[in-house]
Amino acid sequence: MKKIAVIGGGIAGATLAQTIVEQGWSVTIIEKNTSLGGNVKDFGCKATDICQKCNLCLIDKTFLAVQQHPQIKISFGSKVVDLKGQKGNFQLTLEKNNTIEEQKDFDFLVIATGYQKYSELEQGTLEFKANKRVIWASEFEEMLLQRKDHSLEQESFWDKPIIKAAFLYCNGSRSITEKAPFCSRICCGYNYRMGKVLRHFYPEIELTAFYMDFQQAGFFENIDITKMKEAGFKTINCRPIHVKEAEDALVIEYEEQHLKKRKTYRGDLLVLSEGMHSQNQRPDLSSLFNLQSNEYGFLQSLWPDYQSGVFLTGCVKGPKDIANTIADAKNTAYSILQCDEGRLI
Amino acid sequence: MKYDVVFVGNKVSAPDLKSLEIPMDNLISCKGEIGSFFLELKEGQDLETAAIIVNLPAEKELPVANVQDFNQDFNLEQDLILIQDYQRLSSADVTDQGLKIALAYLQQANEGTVIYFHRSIRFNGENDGLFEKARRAGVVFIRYQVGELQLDPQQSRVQLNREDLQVNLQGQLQLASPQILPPIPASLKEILRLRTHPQGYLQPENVYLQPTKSSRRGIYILGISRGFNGNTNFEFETEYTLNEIRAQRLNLAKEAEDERIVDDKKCILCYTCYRICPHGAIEEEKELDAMQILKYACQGCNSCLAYCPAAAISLSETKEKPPKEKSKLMLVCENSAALALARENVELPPNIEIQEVPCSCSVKKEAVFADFLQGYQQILLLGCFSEACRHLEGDRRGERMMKQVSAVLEDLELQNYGGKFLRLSPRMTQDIKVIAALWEEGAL
Repeated sequence: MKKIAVIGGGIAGATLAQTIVEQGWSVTIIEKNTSLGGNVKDFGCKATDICQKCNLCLIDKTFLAVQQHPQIKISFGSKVVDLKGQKGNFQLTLEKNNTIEEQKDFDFLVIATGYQKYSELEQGTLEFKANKRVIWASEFEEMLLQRKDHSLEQESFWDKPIIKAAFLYCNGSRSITEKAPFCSRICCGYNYRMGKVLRHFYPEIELTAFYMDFQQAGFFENIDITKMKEAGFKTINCRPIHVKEAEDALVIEYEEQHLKKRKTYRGDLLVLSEGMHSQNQRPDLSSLFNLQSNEYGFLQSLWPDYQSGVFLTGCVKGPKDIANTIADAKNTAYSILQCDEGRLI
Repeated sequence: MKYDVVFVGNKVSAPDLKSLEIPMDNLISCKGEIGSFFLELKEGQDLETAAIIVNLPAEKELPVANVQDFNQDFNLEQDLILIQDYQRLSSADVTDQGLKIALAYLQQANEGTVIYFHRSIRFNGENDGLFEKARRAGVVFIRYQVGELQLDPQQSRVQLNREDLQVNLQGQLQLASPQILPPIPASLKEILRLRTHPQGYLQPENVYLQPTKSSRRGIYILGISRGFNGNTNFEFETEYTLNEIRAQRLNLAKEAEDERIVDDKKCILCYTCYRICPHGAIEEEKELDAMQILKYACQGCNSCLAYCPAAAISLSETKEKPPKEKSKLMLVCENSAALALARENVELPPNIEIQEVPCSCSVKKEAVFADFLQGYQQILLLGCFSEACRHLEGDRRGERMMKQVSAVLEDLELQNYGGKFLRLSPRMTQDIKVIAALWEEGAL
C-alpha cells in the first residue's frame, strides 16, 4: 500500500485524497487550520429560488467523506517545516502546537495550498470601510453563508437599507500595479450571482457593474451585456477613479468613455471583487519542495512531477473556479495512480 | 475486439488507448454500460468499447460572405484587421487564437499594423500573458458594441461608428466565425439515451456533470456539444476525460452501494423504468424476457422502484423499518437534507421520525399511503432546491407525486392526514429547524 501526503485540505486536497483512497492507498492530509475546507468553507450558496450553479454543493459530501474515511489521517493545525528523502521515501517534519513531529515513508507528495484572497494582502484599507458601505466579496459570501431562510441580514449588517448597489469587477486582478496581470476567472461569475441574490431579496434594488470585460462564468453562463441587462444590471465599462464617502451615500467617480467625461455615481453599497493571488504566507514552499514560481507568483514544477514525486494541484498553480479545481485534483490523482503503474501519460 | 474508447465525431490523440473514430450518423444502437458498451454500426459491424466520447466538430459559418476566418496564412504586405464577437460573444479559445495570430503577424512583418476589434477579451487556461504581450507588441485593440461595426468585404474595409470614435480602415479582414452546434440527428440522443439541454446541447445544465460527464455513466461530452463555451478549456477537459477512462480501466467502482433487482416473473416489459431512469441504466434482457438493471451504470436513485407499475423491482437487501410510534414522518433526500442533518446536530421535536431516501423521486405513492396505514398522520418530503438534483429531475417528480397524494387525501376528506413536499433553500440546516418548528405548531 502506497502512502501519500497532501499539504492543504481545501477543495483540491480533499478531492484528491478521496480519489486516491478509493484505490486502496492511504493518505495523510496536513492542514494548517483546525478544520478542512480552506477558503471555500467561508463561501455561501448563491441560489435564489433556483440553483445558480455556483458548484459549492459539489464538495460538501467530499469533506464529510474525507473526515470519516479510515484510510485518511488528517493532521490539523500543523505545517511543514522540513523535507528529506526522495520519491518513494519522503520524510516530512511537521510543526504542531510548537512541537516537532516526524512523519515517514511517503511515496508521493501533493501540494494543494490554494490561493490567497486579495483582502488578506491589501495594505491600504479605505477609511470608511468601517460602516460597511464598501465590502469585500468574501464578506458578502460570509453573509450568504449566514443568511436566514428567506432574507439577508440587512438590519444588523448594514446601517441603512440598500437601494443602490455597485459591483467592482477585476479588483485585485488584471492590473500590473497590483502585481496581478492575470484574470482571476471567478469574479465575473460570483458578482453576477451575488447581484441575482440581491435582486431576489430586494426586487427594487438598482445594480451597477463597473467592469472591464465579461468572462465566461463557469458551466453554461455566457455573461455579456444582454445577459447583465436581463439580470437587471446597469453596466459601466470603466474602473472607478475615486471612491469617497458623502454624508449618506458613497460617491464613486468614474469616466464615461463615450462622452470622455468624468461622472459621479452615488450609491449605498460597493462590493469589491477579490482577485486570487498566490500563497504569500509560505514563500519558503518553493525552496522546500524544489519548485519555481511563474511570472505571476504561482508555483510550477521544476522537474516533471512523475520524476520528482512532488505533484501540484488546484489553485496553487493558478486561478481556477470550483469545478475546474475539482477536475484538476482528480486529474492529478489519476496521474499519481498511473505514475505508480509505470504508465506515464 | 474491445476498444477502450470510441469517439463519436472527431478523434482526440490518445496513443495508449485503443480507440476508434465513427461519424455521428453511423451509429445504429448502443447497449450496455460503462466498461462494456456494445455498438452497432451502419456497415453491419458490431464492436465493444469501455467508454464513449462524443466530440462533434463545431460548424463554422461566417456571418459575412467573402471574409476569411481566423487563420495563420496572412498576407504580410497588408495591414491585418481581426474582428471577434461579431454576432455573439466568442468563447475564450477564440481570443486565444486571435491573439496568437496577431503576435505571429507582428513577428513576421517588418511594417504593418494589427487592429483587433473585440467586445470582450476572454481568458482561458494559460493565455493571461498573451493579452499584455500583444498590447506591448503594438496591437491596436478597439472595443465596439453590437451594431457599431460595418464590414465591406469587397473593398476589404471596416467602418466603426462609435459615439466617440469614427474609424474607416482598409486591410485584410479576418472574422472569427461563431462556433455553432452541428445539426445533431435526433436519433443520436435516443441511441445514446442522453438527457439533453433544451437548446440542443448534449449535456444538461447540472453541476453534478462537471466538467464532461453526461447523464449516462461512461459517455463523455467534449467541445461544442457540451455547450456554446465548450471549447474554452478543451485541452484540459480532454486530458481529464482520458485520464478518467484510464483510471476506470484500472479499477471500475460501482456508484450505488446496494443493488436493485428486477423480478423476471413480475416484469411486464412496459419499459416505464427504461424511460424513467435518468442515467440510462436499464435495458431489456432478451433471454429472460425482462428488464435488467446495469450495476455499474446505476447510480442508486431508486426512481425505477417508485415508478414500476408491476412492483417488479426491489432492493437486494430490504432494510427493516423501525417501529412506528411517532405521528410525523420526514423523508429527507440523502444528497441535501440528510447531509445537512449529518453535518450539524440538529435537534428535532421528538414527534418527528426521519427517514432517508436516495432521491425525492424514489418515494412511491403507494409507500406513502402504506406509511399512513402504519400510523403516521403527516408526511413531509424535503427535496433539493430546483435544478440542483443529482439525478437531474428528481425534485420535480417528488413534488408531482406529493401533490397527487394530497389531492387524494383531500378527495377522501381526511383532515387529520397530510402529505406535503417542500423545497429546501440554500440554508438547509436552518430550514429544517424552522420547518420542524412550524410543523410542530401546525403552521405549515
